[in-house]
Amino acid sequence: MKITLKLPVPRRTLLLLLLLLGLCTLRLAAQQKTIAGTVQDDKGTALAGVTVTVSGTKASVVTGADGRFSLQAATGAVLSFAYVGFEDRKLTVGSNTNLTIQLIPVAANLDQVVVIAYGKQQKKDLTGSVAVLSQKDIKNVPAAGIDQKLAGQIAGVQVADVTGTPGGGASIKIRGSGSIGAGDDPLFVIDGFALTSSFGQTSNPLNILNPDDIESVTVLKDASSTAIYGSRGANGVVLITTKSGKSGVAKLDVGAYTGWQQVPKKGRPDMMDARQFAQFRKEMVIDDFASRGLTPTDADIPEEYRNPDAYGKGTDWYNEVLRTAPQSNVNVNLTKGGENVRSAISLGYFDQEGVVRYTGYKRFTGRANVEGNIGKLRLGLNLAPSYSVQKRNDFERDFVDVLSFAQWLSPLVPVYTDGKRTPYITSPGMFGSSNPLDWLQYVGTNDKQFKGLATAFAEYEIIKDLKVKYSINVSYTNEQSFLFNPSNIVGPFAALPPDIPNSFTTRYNATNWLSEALLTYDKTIGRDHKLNAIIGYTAQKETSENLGINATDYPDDKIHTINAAATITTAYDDIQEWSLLSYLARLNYSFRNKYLLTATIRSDGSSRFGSNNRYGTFPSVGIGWNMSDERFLRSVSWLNELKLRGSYGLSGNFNIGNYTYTSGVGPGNYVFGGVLAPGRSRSSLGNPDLTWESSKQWDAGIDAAVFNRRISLTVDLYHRITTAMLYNSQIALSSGFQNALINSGKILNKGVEIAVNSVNLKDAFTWTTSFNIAFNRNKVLALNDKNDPILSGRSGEGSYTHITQVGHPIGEFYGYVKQGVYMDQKDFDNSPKAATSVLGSVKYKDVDGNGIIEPVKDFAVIGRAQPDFTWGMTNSFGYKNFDLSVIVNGVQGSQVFKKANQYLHNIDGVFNVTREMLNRWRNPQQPGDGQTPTTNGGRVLYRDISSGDIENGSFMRIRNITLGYQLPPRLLSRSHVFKALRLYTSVQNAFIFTKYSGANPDVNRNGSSALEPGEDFTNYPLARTYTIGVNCSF
Amino acid sequence: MKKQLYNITGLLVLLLVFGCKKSFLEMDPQSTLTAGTFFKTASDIKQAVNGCYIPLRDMGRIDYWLFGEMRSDNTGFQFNKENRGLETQREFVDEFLTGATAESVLDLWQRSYSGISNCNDVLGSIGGITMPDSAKNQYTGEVSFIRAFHYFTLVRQFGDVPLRLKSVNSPAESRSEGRAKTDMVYATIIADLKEASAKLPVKYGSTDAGRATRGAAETMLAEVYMTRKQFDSAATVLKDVITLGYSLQADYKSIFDPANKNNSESVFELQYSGILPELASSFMYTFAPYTSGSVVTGDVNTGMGVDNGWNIPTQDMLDTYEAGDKRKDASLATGFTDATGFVNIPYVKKYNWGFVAPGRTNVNFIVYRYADVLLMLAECLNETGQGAQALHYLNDVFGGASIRGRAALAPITVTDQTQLREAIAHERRVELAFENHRWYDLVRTGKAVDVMNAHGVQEKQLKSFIPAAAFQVTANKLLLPVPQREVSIDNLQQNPL
Repeated sequence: MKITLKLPVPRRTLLLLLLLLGLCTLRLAAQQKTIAGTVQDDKGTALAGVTVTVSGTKASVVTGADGRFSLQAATGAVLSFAYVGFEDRKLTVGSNTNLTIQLIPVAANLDQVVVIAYGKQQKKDLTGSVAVLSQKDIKNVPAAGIDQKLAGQIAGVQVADVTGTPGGGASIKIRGSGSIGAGDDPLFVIDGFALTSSFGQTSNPLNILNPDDIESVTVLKDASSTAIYGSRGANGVVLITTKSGKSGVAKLDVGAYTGWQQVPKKGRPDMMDARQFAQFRKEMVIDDFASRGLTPTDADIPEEYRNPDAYGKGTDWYNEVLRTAPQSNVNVNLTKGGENVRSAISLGYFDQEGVVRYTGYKRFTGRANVEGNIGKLRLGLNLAPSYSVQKRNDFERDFVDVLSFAQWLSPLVPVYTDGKRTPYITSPGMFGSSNPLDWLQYVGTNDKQFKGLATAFAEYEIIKDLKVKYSINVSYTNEQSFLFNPSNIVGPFAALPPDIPNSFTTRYNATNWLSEALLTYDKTIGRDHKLNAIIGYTAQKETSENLGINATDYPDDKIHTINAAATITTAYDDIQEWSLLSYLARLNYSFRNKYLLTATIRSDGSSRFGSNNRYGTFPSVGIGWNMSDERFLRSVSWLNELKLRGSYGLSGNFNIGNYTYTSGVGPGNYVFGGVLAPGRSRSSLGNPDLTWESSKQWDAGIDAAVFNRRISLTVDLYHRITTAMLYNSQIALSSGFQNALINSGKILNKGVEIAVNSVNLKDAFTWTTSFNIAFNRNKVLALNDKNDPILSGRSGEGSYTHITQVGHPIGEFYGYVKQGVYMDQKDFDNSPKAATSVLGSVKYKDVDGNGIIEPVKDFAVIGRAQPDFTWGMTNSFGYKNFDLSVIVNGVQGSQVFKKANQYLHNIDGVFNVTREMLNRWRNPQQPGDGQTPTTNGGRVLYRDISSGDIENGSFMRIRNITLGYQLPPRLLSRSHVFKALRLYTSVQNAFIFTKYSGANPDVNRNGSSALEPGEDFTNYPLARTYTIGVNCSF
Repeated sequence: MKKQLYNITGLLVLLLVFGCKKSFLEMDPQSTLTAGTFFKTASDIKQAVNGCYIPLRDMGRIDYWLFGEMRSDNTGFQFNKENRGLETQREFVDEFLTGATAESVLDLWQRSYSGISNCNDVLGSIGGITMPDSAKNQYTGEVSFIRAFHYFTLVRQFGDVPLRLKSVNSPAESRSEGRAKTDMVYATIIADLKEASAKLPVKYGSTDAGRATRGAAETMLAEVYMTRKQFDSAATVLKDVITLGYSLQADYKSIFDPANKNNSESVFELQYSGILPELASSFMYTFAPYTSGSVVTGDVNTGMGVDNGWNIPTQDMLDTYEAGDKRKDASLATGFTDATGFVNIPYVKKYNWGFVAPGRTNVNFIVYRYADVLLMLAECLNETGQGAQALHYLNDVFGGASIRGRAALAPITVTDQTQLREAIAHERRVELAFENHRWYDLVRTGKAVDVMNAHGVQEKQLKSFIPAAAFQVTANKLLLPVPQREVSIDNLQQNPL
């Protein structure tokens, strides 16, 4: 991109002058002289490793540790100075032969060039709401994926660490949830290649990318920047740019860290110990007899529970499955480039063992970028293969996964019996399972993935300022997983072993290609008019095949491959395809660099939509005014920048199944005369009118910088209305179907985002702060023809857990209003009751006032997951060669539905329970805390969702603290090996401040839809990670 | 320069033209069929007809016994103190505590209408497809019978229900026109069954055994008439059924033997097979006490828990059998013997014929059989004042066997209409025990409220776990509540409580 300089001479004159100078250079080529100098940063610190090149020649040197350089150049030659993280600078050689050159860091530079959709643009010329992060903002966070590194960094981008699963993904929402059924993940675009990605808590599509390879991340938030992605832009777009080769000397960077992870004590389940549980079970019998006016004898109490004092703490199974686990990462990056060919190669290895035993994630990544130009042709090739192995278990599957049963198994049973693991864990009248350690060790899933990204492009300058670029991008995924369930190990609720050995195998492969042709016209006309226009045509197609085989009746545990199984119980093989055909165009125009206009349009045709509605058009317009460049503000010396922006546009969301517009016909078999008779019937109801949901958004923003840019501020207001929402609506069962995808309803997301960057101290001691805060309000404006509320979710009792209704946010918690317990006979007689209520059982509010407590009819809104605001703050300090940064983020005003109470508070006696249950009602004389019900009858209602399960989810998390030390140049210069060397140590997830009783209030149940936010159901715990690391350049 | 520009632009234009082939966006699923490509040929229709039987088999696993048998005085459940998971779903059905949000009620509703939708898809498309008349008639008959089967279940359990007789092809058509009056539902059922009777064959070859027959359609039609108190009409069709060649099995027990599937006494039975999990039955497991380990099932690899201990015979049922009735021992056991000795928990054993693979049995479930036909005919004759003729069928000699205790008991001789009515009702209760008829018989004969209240008093005396609110049976409680989901989504009126 061009840097427009404010010059006192007219441009034409300048060109002439340059030409003359060039001629002079040619003529005076022999008249070389020695030019020496020092390169410093904006604070006057010497910069080592800066490449100094004499433009148009091969002469090039690198500054030493003291920032000094020396080379031969002629008067009039142009020296260029390049250094990563700093703006390039050019200088014409004059009479001065001893120079001092200051380079300005990129972030502080208003003329920063940012990556936008289908191109680049100067930040100053942007009209949309666009946020940028560079590698240095995210380098300290130890994580496998870029998603986790974004947390707390950008206003309006809410990254929730929903799981600690090694290799798992985070949940990312940009400007709230604008969709209730089509997914609210943003679109991820890696080097121009829009990936299909649906996040799972155990799998993360962004694992394809080594975060160390990332140069910058741009987040597009408003419609003027996202509308060019048409039917995929509605949830925001994240553009990721990887490192590429640069002109200059070869540069080798090596980064490595290693560390260990631990699950913090805070928030671990607080279960009864062995003595308490035996006592609890004994009292259960006593209370049951007492309610019938009887006293039990010893024979009525199971032997194991008769003498609680015989037990001590017993076994805390949850602690037993956890461990301190190592994590390490190595990354090597080589860049080399000349005028004509530039390349970058990187290799990475990431190895994270899980804090839950026998789990972990390993990944090898490679990346090679080569780019070259021959005359007017520029060619590039980019290859990025990655291979990963994930060892996981069936985590986050309600109360049957190992982390759940490690909470509710009997604390009375020891981990080891006679020096061996106790094979089966249970106590009388309790649910049991095999030893959780055996389950983790032997019944884990091994998942191997190969992913490759390949892109190639050719760009040709047809005439001056007009370029055509064609690119072909391919991504390929091959994944295989295998699980073997041996005969001697059973899961929860199963009968005692032996079980019949069985296995589950999956194979998945997917190919996605994108073919794209772009025509770009970039022209500055005179001094006033700057024009950038693109038109493009793209076609994208994905084909995937998913195969799964359940095999059983293995004769023994010796051979695990499917050939050893006698029976294939189920096998499926599913091929899915989609395609997208698009035309796009954009015009950026600026007048005198003050008045800015952006207009975009995209037309998308998608195979996913019904034939009646296959094509859609998505326009947008944005305007900007660089007010600070106006004459009347130029004299205001403290004001460095003031820009007003406004935009309006339309974007879409196409994230639904591939063939949902048509009714599927599925197989099913019957038997006649003892022989299988194949049958078929419709399995789903299609909707030929199906189309994308569309999102209209306006945005108004201000960018300002004051006091020599020491404080900069960005404020955005936005208002987004999503209409024709795609969702899988429950429909009348009398139709023969339970649900169907429809376009219906309307949702509003509006809010304010504020981001402030401040240089607090900039002398010997430096201190910068970046702070962001976002307020989003989510409101349903319409749902369907009758505006019936949508009830969703499923409690342990089969009732709904969430409600979405007009005038409210999406997915509020919906359940009983808990009032306590029936304290005494009088209370019991005078209060509304359910069919099974007894004295001391839970007492709920009779919402419909009919005197009977019943599910759903007596449900009310009891909370919401959406926060009042989210915020993040990064403070960076520097003193001499030390640097310290602290990243904090927080969520305020949200609530969490602790769904795990389904078993943590289950007083049936079949599960171990939390210590709160010690304070239960036993009789009118021992009423406990008045909130915890009796173990006598009437327990069913207590298993449904109530206001007692809703907790405050506000938190502040110190995400990362990093302390670094940059070795002084004079030490390095002696080694002659290192150009730069930095040592650092960090703590990730250092502390959390919250009232929430669980471990992680920033949580969501695995696989839950946007209609069911905020459920906590025993997710893989988040670890606190301590690391030490080194970054060096050679 | 100009030339180059033209070249490149030309290339770009070509790309645009070639790229935007329309077919690029048209994709049909490769691994599933769609409604647009199915329902086109005779072979498609044959498969679709087979598909119509599947919901019946699936509902046979739970829904039919839960609402047809366990709701009656014949059976209850074994109280599972540890696992209360199915309290609201199943125990409440037995105890008359079921609410409108119970999933078990929703399942009954949903699976029935899903089955009806399958039938409507066939009936809506078969007309335009070329195939031999015999096949077309048979398919139409089978599907009409199955649709009537679903509506007959629905109308008896819920009263007025939405009447859906056409395929629903888009979400816009999904909502019904509200609950149709019972009379209208019955009119549809009768029309479907008449169509089925007229079009169905009397018998199939062995490879098609299990398909609906004329006898099946007529037997159901008779039960419909009897439910409507049209005993004359019922008698007329039943008299046709007895000309179709059915005969009684001499050995009561062998009627249910999987080695004797679709035998001469069988009129319509749900077909199961142990060869695949989706095809298998598991009544033996469901009805076995959950504390019986492998003693009852003989299967050490299948654990017992919350899904076992259902449809447990009540004390009242045990006491109903006359001394010497051979059917008692064939139908139930009074307990089982394990390491601790004899455990006094009765269970249904009619369907206990071993397993094919762990958890899978080969046993069919009979919906209608010839003994039922004879008992219905006797009842119709008694109700129309032809007691003597009724006795003829009761103590029948068709096929050389007597129904009464399968030859062990003395014949019925009472001719007083009321006494004979009682005798026939008793005979039905024991002969057809655990075959999902008792609840409907109680309701049809107007005895349900009295019988179930008395039964509740007895049950509460015997079982301390039954809540005080249980068994408050009123006329309104004879109908299930319409699922709350449908009250709101399908705009339906709720039944009175």
